[in-house]
Amino acid sequence: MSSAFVIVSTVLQNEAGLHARPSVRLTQLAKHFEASVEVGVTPEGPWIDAKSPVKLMRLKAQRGTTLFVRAGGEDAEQAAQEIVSLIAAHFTPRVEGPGGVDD
Amino acid sequence: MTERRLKGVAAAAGVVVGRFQFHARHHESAPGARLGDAAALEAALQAAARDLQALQEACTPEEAEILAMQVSLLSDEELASPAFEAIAQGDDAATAWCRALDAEIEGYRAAEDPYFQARATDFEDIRDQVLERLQGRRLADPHVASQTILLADDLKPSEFLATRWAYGSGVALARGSPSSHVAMLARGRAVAMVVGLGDALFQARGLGILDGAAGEVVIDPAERRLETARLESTRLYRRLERDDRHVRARAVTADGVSIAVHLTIAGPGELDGLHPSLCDGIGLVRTELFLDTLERLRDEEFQYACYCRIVQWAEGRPVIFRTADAGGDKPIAGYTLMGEDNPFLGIRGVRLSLANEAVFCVQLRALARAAAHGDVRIMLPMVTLPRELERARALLDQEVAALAAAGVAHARPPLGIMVEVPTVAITPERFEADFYSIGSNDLVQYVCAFGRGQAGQDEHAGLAVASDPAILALVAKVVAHGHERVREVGFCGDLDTDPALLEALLRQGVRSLSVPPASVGSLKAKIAAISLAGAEVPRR
Repeated sequence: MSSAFVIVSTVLQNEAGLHARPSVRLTQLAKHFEASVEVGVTPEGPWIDAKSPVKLMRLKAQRGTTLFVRAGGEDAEQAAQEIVSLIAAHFTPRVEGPGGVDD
Repeated sequence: MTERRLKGVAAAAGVVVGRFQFHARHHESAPGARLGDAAALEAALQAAARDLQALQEACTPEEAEILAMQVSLLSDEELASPAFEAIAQGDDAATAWCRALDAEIEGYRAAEDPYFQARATDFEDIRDQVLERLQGRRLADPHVASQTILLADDLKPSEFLATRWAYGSGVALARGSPSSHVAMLARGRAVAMVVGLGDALFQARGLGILDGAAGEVVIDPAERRLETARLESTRLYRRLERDDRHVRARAVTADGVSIAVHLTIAGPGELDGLHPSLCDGIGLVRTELFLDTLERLRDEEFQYACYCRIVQWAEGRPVIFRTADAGGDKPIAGYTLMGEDNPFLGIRGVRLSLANEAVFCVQLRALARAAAHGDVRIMLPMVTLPRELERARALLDQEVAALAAAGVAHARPPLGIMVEVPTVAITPERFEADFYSIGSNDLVQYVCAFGRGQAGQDEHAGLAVASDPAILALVAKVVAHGHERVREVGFCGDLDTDPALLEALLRQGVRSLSVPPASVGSLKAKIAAISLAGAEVPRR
């Protein structure tokens, strides 16, 4: 099955790196997919389950780290792409602060 | 007594002159006796997660997200798995849990990056919450009075949120970090905070000074310093209070023109603790911020419950719900398009809704049902062409007819549009909407061709501001159109950063504004200081 994996990479650009809330947001997105989603800091792994916030935080990945995302299964392609988009979007907060305004 | 000044790290601004008070810890980290088995640990984990969820109810969205983060960590089997293994080997639950979490915490304390070091407190918080449940104890509900400086080694997010903080109270921590979640919470609630003061802090007794912005605590302050600090503190809190006094009053200009002030909110939770009399209604519910997954966008009952909570809070005042404005800087996984060249100019707002009519109709149905309980109004974001409004109206009529046929309680809400794309602002007469709301941030970036997230140099200041004469001319045009057709025209956007904007808008005839709850007091105070004499504007 190893040939069925999709592996993509991106650089962590947000200031705080993969700390608590970014990890949780990544986990929440990863859980949307049937595919297995894993994260590593090299293209050879070791691979960390992206559906576990505790494991993701243990990576202590700082800004500037290249993250590799490996997905396998039915919707692997979409999963990998969306995870990379989330990281590229600096884990865009779902809800802004109380002072936040838009429009 | 000699004055002693302790230098720490600034974490939340504010000057407090007051009594030092020690924070009462309710637990010991290391339990003495053997306590609990695997089932007890499982129950304690679940109880802690449940209590955190309950605490979220009374929080702002930002605060709630920190608690939700803790719930996610608590619910991750990985966290407790070493503890369950140790219990299987014969350990008791409390010892096994503490050992497992202490190992996790140690890993973060040893980190080089300050962001990761600050996460140790989050795990300590989780450890102690579960431990308290194991010991059958619950968090107390402590109160910190005004002119009190709370002293603690460190403070955890759940402890901070469970505490009632009076106006003009502060926190001094021996450890802690300005990047911690608790520092962020303190900034949000205007509680002054200094961290990293060291153990010398615990010699503090009696009266002292805390200066959150300077990152300093003064023990046994000299009389003269006390006087200066008191003056500064009074000035600061008097300004906050003045804003507070205005909060409940109606907004009227110096020459007697009434201005309607509405709230802009990100979800029902933001209204907790607020009284509806502070506003004339809700001018903008940004639904995409709580309908932030495809699952929720499709969940009619969840939406209906959220909308009803807001409508009931408003007690008959109008509530304008903007249909999901996803896309742009607010992507929703599995719903918004990924990889657009320029998402701000892409398929977002009503364009996305009309490309997903089945999802859109769920929201229209839930809103029409909520309209049976109050004054619900529906507003479409990012309208560019008249046919988008017409299509949305047809869908709304279709859903209303279906509800009527099924005998479900409902009402047909008015359908308005945001004015944020220049096509609408330039020729509003082409759009037969029931009301209009000018969304300044997007309108400004589309008219001035300068992105709102764009980092500009000094020479770019003024490149994209709402008080630009071109924007004000468009505002005047929309206001005149609304006046002619007897349709309401509101304005929502940032009124805090541009001091000239408010008066300019009022002079163009804007009489209805929408701002976040925290800005209501200062907005009303500013309105009271403005005179519109000489302005040729329609009066209501």
